[in-house]
Amino acid sequence: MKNNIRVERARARMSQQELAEKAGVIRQTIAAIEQGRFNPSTVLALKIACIFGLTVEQIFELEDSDWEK
Amino acid sequence: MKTIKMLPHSWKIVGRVLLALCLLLFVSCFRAVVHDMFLVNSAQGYDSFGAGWASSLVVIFFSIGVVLLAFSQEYREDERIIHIRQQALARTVILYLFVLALNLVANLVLGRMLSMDSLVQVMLIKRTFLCVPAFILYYLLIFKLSLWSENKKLSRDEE
Repeated sequence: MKNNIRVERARARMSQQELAEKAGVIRQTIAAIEQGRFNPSTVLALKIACIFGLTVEQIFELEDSDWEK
Repeated sequence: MKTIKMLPHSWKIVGRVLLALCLLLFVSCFRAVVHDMFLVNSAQGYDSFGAGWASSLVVIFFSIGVVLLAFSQEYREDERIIHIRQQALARTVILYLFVLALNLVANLVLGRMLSMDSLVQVMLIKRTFLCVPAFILYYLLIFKLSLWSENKKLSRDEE
């Protein structure tokens, strides 16, 4: 799953730490999501989208490999 | 959001104190404890009451300490850490079964009879490195190692 959290964060001039605090997770979790090393839960994805004032689809995007079993 | 119910972070301190006590006791009564825990005939050459008492305390402190350390939350526990915990638990089960199988094969190769009694002994009682607290210790080590390596990879991504 791709995401553009880094872009949105830069647009909002927000650090990973600030985003993490607002979303109620630790900074490493935000870094892991940005790097694609960790897929967030629906709740966390919704929280992140809400923080940026966007929808989940505007931040997270499925890749072709996500459809493979 | 659903989370796994765990002990508060402060319980780690109690766990560390118990493990420190266990280590102190193990070092101070090393010969007696090793003799009582690992050697076949514990009655020979040592005060069996003292050795039994010391080794029992070592096992109790170790068991409780490891459980408290393994099942209390990290300073800040979030869903990624819970995910790492679950992965560590799965890896521990595989490792534990591998160690168990290796031990059974070693027993067969060494020519010991594989009876139900010896199987139970191997799995639960006599072999300290295969008992339940040891399983929790494997889990704790694998979890801490995974968490450390994940955080190390992510620390390169600091802003």
